Amino acid sequence: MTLSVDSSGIKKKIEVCQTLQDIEVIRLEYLGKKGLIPSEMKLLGKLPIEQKKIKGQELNKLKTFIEDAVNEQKILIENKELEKKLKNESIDVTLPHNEELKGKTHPISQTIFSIIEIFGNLNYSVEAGPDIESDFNNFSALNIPPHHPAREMQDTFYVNNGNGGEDNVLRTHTSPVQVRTMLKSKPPIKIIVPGRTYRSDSDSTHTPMFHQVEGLVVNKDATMADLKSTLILFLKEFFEIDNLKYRFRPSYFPFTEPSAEMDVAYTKKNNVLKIGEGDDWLEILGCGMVNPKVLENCNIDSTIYQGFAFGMGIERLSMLKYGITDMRGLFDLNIKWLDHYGFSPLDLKTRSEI
Amino acid sequence: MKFTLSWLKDHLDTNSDLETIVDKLTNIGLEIESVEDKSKTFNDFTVAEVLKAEKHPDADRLKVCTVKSIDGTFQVVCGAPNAREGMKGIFAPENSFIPGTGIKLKKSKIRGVESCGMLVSEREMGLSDEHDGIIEVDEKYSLGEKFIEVFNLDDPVIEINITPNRGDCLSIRGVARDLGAAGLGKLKENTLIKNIEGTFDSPVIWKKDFKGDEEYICPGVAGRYFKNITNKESPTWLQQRLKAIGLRPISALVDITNYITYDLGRPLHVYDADKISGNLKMRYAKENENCLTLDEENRECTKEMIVISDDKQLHGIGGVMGGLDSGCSLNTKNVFLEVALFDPISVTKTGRHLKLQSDARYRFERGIDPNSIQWGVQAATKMILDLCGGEVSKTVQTQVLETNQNTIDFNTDKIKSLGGAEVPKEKQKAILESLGFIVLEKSNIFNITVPSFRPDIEGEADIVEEILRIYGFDQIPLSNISDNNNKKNVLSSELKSFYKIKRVIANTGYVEAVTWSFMDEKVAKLLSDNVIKIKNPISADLNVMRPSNFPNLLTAVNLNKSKMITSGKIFEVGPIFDETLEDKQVNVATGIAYGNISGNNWNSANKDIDVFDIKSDLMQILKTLNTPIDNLNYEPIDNKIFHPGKSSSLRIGKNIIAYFGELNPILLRSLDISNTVVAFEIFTETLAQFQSKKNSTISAFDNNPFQTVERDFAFLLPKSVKANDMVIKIKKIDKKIINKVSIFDVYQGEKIDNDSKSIAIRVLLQPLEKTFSEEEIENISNQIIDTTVTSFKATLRK
Repeated sequence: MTLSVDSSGIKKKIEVCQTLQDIEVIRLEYLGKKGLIPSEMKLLGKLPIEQKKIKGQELNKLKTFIEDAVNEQKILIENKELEKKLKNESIDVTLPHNEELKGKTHPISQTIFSIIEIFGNLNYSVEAGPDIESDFNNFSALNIPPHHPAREMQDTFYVNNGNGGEDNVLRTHTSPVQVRTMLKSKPPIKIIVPGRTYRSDSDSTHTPMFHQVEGLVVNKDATMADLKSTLILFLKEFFEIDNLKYRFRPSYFPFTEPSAEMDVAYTKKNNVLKIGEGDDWLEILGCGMVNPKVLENCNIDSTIYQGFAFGMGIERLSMLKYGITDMRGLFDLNIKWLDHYGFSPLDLKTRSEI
Repeated sequence: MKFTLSWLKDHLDTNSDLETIVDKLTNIGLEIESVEDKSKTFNDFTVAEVLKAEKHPDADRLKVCTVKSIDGTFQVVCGAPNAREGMKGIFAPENSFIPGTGIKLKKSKIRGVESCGMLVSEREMGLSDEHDGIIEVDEKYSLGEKFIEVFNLDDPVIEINITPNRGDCLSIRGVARDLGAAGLGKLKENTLIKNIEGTFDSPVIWKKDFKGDEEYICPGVAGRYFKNITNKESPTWLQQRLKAIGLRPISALVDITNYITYDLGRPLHVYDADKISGNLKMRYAKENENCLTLDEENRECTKEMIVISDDKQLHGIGGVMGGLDSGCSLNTKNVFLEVALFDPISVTKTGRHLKLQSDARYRFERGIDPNSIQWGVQAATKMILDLCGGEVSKTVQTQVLETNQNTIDFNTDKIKSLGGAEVPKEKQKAILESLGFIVLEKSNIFNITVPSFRPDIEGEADIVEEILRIYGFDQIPLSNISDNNNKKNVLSSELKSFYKIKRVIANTGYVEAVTWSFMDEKVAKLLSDNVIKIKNPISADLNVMRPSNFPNLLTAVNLNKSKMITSGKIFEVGPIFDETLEDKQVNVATGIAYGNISGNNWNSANKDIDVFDIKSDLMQILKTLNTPIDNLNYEPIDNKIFHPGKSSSLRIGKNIIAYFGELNPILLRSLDISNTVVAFEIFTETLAQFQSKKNSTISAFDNNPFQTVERDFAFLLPKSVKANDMVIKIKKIDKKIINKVSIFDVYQGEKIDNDSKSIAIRVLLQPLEKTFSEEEIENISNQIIDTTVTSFKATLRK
């Protein structure tokens, strides 16, 4: 015999249930202690073995079928109820989120990072030195004797030497680190030196403290062609321009001979400077072949070694690259300014821009 | 250094136009500062005639003029009282730009009458402030003649920057020589240098009084006596040249000295001979001697200064400025001339001491051609006799110290090996010769004699510069600069921590600032006893080197409050200074934070940033820079910057890594800050030890499969016990098994006695080889309880 049960009919009955109670009624009807399936199970014992086996299997199959159908419908009903409930749970998502404060690095730092990156790729290493320097390191070793007119080009801050000796100075350029490096290490030397520098000057385009980066290469064969090539490569990479209109012209510094200055062309439109093209010139750096006297002052044999040096103002580079018009803003503590011109710490200048 | 184009052409025979000359000057190292070429600005303005001038129908003061210019006849309404029929004036046509007013002229109706163009006043042409009437020009000028020609304004004025080594180019002749060498023409004969015999012996002679080894202070002085001269206004050409370069014409005699100073770079002085008693002498000043100089200042001299004196008084300060009493006036009849040489350093010292700048000082400081003592006398003689007449004496001069002619052996390969450029030997020689060098060629060595006017040339490198700057720096080729040597570390670990910490702190929410290394001594003294003073500060409140970054950073609090920003997180990485430190400075990364950082968001705790917030920032920063923060030791801070009870230093080994906590309210009060400010200070160099380059391989991940277990404990402890000490002690029981000790509750208050606090901890236990048995867990729990109880006089709360 077979069960006179219509499984698809049961399924339909289950599927029309709208509440968990309705489902429970049906579940009890079939699966409850007194329900159809358990009652049929009880009758199995009386059947001959062959039939018992077949019917038992059928009953189990039907039980599983009903259980699954009941569970499925239960989930369906529960989800419907949850859906109804969720609709009443809505919140005003337009309320403001809690804004994490984003930090920024200063444009001067960002400029220094770029400079280090570019020269690092050319195998330069970075050096540093103290802000309070001896007169020797800042002037005399660099071929600027006490009454040289070049000293009038730089208004120097003086501080007492604690030992009662000759006054110290706040370094007027980063060049004393050249001297320190040459005195402590042997050529070949290939360094850049970013750092704070000081001159007693204060107006709209000068601040008493500013930053410079210095470069020095000393070996047996560095030439002015190498110097020129290095600086052009640097400026192109720094300003991210392929066609750089520049001018490399003779100048004078006591510590280099020959000496040169470099100008880049620019145009100004709506108060915004565009670097690299145009008919106006902007002086951007000073450089030259290291004066043999400087090498000798630093115990390097100038008949064997030669080299080049360059120096530039970091504020000017920052202002030109990032379009900052007011130099004094760089040293201000206006949080809005610092946030506006600052850089995300994740803004690492890599070639892939990752 | 200023000059006009026509003046330059006195010395340089050239066909080059202004633009070529200007470009070349910059390219050879005589950098252009400015070029004023009025011929462009004033091109539109020409001589015109007023044919008719009738009263305006509707305005009494206006006239309707019919003006005939070279371009036609125009009706012009004019308000000038001197506008009248038959006069000649300067006409500005429609659409021309009026320099004096900065306005472009448009056709307009004035009181109903059409007006095309304008008759201009001196003010409108930018000539003067004269605006009462229009410019009248002499009848001899014909229609269409250019305004600039009539007024002699057509000579462009060029200003160049002369670097301190090029004293020779503080003369127009020197500039011309350089341009000639650079191929822009030929240096002309110098017509001023001519020998004119004197007809009598000078009644005044030059003497000098310096000891033998100090002769160099004034190597020599020469002069001449001119009698029966007539001093008067200089001729127009001379006045115009001086005016063009910004000098005020005074009288022929004075103008001649200024002219020769600029023309030949040779400063001179002329004395009214009738105001001198006896002879003139160069000597050191005596202590407390005074000299009334030409600028009518009474100058107090010191013993190091060179002065010119007669038998009675001082008549000038050597190389800097002449004296007022013997200055020449229009009444001067007899003149005595000074052509002297002075030691540049002596002149520099004197000028600096007196804070007195002059054209003479400027040139003496940069070095004057020692031969000019002869040719200077000749040039002055010629000009004085030409312009003032009279008779001249024979030359009188002291002994003149011989200067050695500088010679250099120059290897012509140096252009390539140092300059990186190939310049043919003949070209090298030609350049040097055109600059006045004498070159003797011996194979690839030049034996070079340096001209007397180039004291700046000392060695081969200078010769390379001379050749290359004339040859053209733009001719230096580019080279391959790639470097295939072994890659070095770009940054030392000290510098890596110095720079990297900036990004790391910014990443923790702080904005970076850069502030002065200086500050106000009054505040600095509150913080340090070893403040370094600046001897010549830029201002009274920036007079010491900062002993801390805090005072400068703290100015942010009130500054931004005034902009309605009442909270902030700001940092600076830079040096602080102290007399006792090595190199007198150390780098620190300093951060401050204050106010309600969450900006009163509805969804966040409405509280100001506190010590534990900044501690969290600090630890995140230190951890990012590989600092083993679990090994940090806490110690009280002994300074005036931090709150004594709400701060700590963090130490590893003997190094103090950082300070953090609340800033001392006493410091804040002295800076007028009413907020609470929390802060950290990190000594970046101490982090260097953690910055060494790591191998990029990471140790294998230990995927421990055994169930971790959590156990909570609450202890009652004396208040003085430091939570961190307790945590460290518990971890030490078994570092391998005790994975983490966290504090999830701290209580002090009514429910427990006054000297106690309750700390609740959660310990995470990680079995190593098999899952823990109940007994093992019990065992380790007991150890935790026992250790805490015995070490800290604690009791377990149940």
